[in-house]
Amino acid sequence: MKNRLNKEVFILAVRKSIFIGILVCSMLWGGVSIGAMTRVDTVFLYTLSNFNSPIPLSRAKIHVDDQKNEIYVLDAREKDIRIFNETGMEIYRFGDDGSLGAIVDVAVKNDGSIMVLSKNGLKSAIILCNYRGEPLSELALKNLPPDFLNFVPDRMAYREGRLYLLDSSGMRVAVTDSNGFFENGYDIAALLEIEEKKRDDTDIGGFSVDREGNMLFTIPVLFLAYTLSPDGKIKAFGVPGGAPGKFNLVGGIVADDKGNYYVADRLKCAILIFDKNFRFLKEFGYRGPRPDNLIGPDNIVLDSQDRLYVSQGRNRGISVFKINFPQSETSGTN
Amino acid sequence: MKVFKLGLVVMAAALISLALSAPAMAFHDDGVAECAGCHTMHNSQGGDVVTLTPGSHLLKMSDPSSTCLSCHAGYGQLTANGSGYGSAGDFYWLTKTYSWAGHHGTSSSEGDSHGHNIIAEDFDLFFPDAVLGTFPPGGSGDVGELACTSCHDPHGTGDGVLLLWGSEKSNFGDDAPVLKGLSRRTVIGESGQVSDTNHVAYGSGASAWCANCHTDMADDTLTTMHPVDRNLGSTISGNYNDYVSTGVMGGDPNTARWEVVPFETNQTQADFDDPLDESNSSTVGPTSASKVMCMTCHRAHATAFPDIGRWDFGATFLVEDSHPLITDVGATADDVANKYYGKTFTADQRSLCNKCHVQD
Repeated sequence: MKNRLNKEVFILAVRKSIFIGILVCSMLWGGVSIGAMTRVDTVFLYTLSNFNSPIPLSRAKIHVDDQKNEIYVLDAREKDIRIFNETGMEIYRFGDDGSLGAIVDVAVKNDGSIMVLSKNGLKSAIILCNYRGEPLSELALKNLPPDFLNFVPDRMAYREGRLYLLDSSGMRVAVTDSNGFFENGYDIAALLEIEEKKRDDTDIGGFSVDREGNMLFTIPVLFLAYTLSPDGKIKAFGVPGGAPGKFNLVGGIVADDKGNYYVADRLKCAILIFDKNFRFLKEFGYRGPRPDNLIGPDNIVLDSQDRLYVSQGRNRGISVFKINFPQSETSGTN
Repeated sequence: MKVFKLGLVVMAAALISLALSAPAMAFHDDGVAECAGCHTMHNSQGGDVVTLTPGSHLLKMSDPSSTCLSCHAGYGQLTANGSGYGSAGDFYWLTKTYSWAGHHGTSSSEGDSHGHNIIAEDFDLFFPDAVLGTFPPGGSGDVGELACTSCHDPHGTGDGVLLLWGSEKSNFGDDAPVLKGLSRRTVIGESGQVSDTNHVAYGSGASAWCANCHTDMADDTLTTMHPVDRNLGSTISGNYNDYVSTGVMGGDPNTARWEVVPFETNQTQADFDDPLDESNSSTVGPTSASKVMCMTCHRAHATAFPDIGRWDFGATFLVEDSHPLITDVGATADDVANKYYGKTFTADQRSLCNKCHVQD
């Protein structure tokens, strides 16, 4: 009798454990949402255009001048930089005379001067230009530590007086002041404990810097997005898969002033939005012929008016979406 | 109660380890990746029907090649200016047509003749060969539109460059060649950029592989075909090792190897898999047992030249006659700089046929 009672207690305890385990599993894997649900509205506005028509760019790189809400677009095919105003109309173009070399990225300083990152094989150069895009001088990087001697950046971001340079194949970031003096460096592969022999196979997809100076990047082959704080703390998020909220081939990543993250998924042809706790909120775009569809979205930027600019393939140009966060709605469990 | 608490602890440990785990493998590293990475099962996203019919085989992009190029374009297989210096070449050259005033009017080098004409609509590659259509030279029939998957296995089995094996995964009669590749990162400055000291090492079987489609090219009974898959012999290998440049002989066999004119060494896969093997950096020229192959004169993807030639077969002097030249319509400074992967030739260098045949 006593044995039978012990056995029944044991079975009950196991059932309780299993039930709680299932409950915790579903919470962890996003099946339950308790409390307020954040609603996000995304509205297609237009495609960046000139005074004739939308411009059929493919896989162009984009940079936003936050102060003037002007958009700089690097067209690798034409080898020039186009500038668009905040209504999405082209207002200026420069660099097509070859004076800036092979441009791979562009940034704008607080004083309006333009920095162009030019790369030729094993060498990079940061060319300072005036507001017309006319080259003035080259910005040399100074005080680089020994392990950055072979540093060849191919991405650049400028934020709050600091220059963030990424060597995407070497997986290193150098942070300098606006005069090029080295301030801090990060070996991303080492931080992620990626074996040296795997470093070459592990590349960085998208890269940007948020308003707090956190570096955001994606590693497509690992289906992950990361945030790297100035003090070197790294966080990762993302799950591989085809369902909403899951990553296929991730590319560009940016954050807004509320701490929400936007990740471009090249294969899914969508933009995924996550909150500051990496909780999935929404994805939009998808493959299709409509203006609000996307094909191979990669590079993305966000301006100060919550307009998201998305560069895509197949000559579909750069699509602009307005992001709205209406007042949160309260919901129960899913 | 103790059992219940123990069960919770075990469950929590399992969940924590699951939550922190990340994929151990890169996308299709050593095997097939998760299917939903490239395929859409039910043509829907987020509950909406995808409004463009997905590509063949339920792929998310327009076609197989677009799916591959979603990643590989950035690695150098399709660049914006020909800066992919990989052994197989840069599909950028398919998009470039050059024309110039020739002796008998306007001459041209058509983009669709510069490479295997893969169709990748999402990457603006839709240049079927205007002359050949979908019939491979020397082939026995229509092979249809080309894609990356015509030669590579996206499901990750096979060799390091993911070439399709024989009957196991394709209609090919011959297995993929024995070779030792380099990194997929082939943009200038990256580890896969080829040079005389960093190149693919070819063992054997490359010509038979090409002959899966280009059947007649490897037919020894046809006297009109340049030999392939044949030993160089002592004369040709001696020529190769001795040749320095047009009119200059006396080369050192230990440094005679040119990436631009490779050969097969008969090494086995076991040789290449040896951790101490340095075949990718070898500069040693051929022996008499080394073999000429299709890749000796052609690249696999695309080049700046017609017939996917490693050099301009129609040029007398490579420096002043190889198109694109800066004076050609359609040519850019980058095109001219990148056409020979930055290799420097002497001003009087003639065709690279002479590396073996020394007729200059």
